[in-house]
Amino acid sequence: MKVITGGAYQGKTQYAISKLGIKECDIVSFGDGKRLSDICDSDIKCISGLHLFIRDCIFNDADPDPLIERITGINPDIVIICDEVGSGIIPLDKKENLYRETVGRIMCRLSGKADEVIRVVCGIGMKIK
Amino acid sequence: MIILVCGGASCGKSEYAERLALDLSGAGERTYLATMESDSEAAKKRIADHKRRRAGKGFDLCEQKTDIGLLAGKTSPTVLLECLSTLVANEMFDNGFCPEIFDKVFEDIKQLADSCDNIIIVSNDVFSDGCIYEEMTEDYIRNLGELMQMIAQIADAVYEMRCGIPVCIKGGSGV
Repeated sequence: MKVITGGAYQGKTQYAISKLGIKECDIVSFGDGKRLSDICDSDIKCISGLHLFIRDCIFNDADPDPLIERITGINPDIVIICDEVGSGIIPLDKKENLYRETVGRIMCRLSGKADEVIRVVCGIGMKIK
Repeated sequence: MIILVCGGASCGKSEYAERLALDLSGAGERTYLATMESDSEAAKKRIADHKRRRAGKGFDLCEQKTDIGLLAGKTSPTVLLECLSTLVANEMFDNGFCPEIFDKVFEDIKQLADSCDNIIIVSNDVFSDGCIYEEMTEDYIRNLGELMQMIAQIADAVYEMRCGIPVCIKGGSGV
């Protein structure tokens, strides 16, 4: 597993395409409101916008963990792209707060398991693991 | 030489960018290109703070809110642009709302960069707060993000400031 992290609009997906050889058609993106449950049995090479999937779970009172565990279990070579979302003021709204904490916690766990973690800033990838 | 210095609020971007400008210009002249409008008390205070810190460092001041390409050939050989995030906001919101400006601003920057020896560009990191904003603000964040990627690609060096420490993420020998 490889994890690509970084702020919004930093070129993370482009990095996966140009540096990790991921094809655009192989990327399952959550930007369009897709649910992870829609795709969990297929052979997945790359998912992008994991934070949006987690957000969707939190705001629908669902637990994102089992599906993420399953996807990464079935696809050990998967590339996971997720925005860094934890560097603002702690939101007053409980779900907004839970969303950011859950993204952070899941990313720590995935990064712990990953062979490689890349942080992309201004389109430049830095291998942090 | 094109250098991009980015980072969050008050992390020492300006101070480091000034050091780079001094180092690169040596005994030569240097221009401080200010893009911020002094239309609020907070802006006035920031501008005063920055002016105080720049005093005695030999910058000539040039104020341009938009269209910095027009300055090509009219600045000193070393230019410190402060800052890109304000410039993008000015370009997008000053004359009505313009949702797509990164290509235009990139051309302006290239034009200016071609006309001088060194340009140091300061920009803010506004990409990691996890907030989802209304469309205009998201457009602003996207434009700034795209533009910073484009600049980083042609830059000789890119630094990300953390607690006053320049972390080199591309090229550069540092100061």
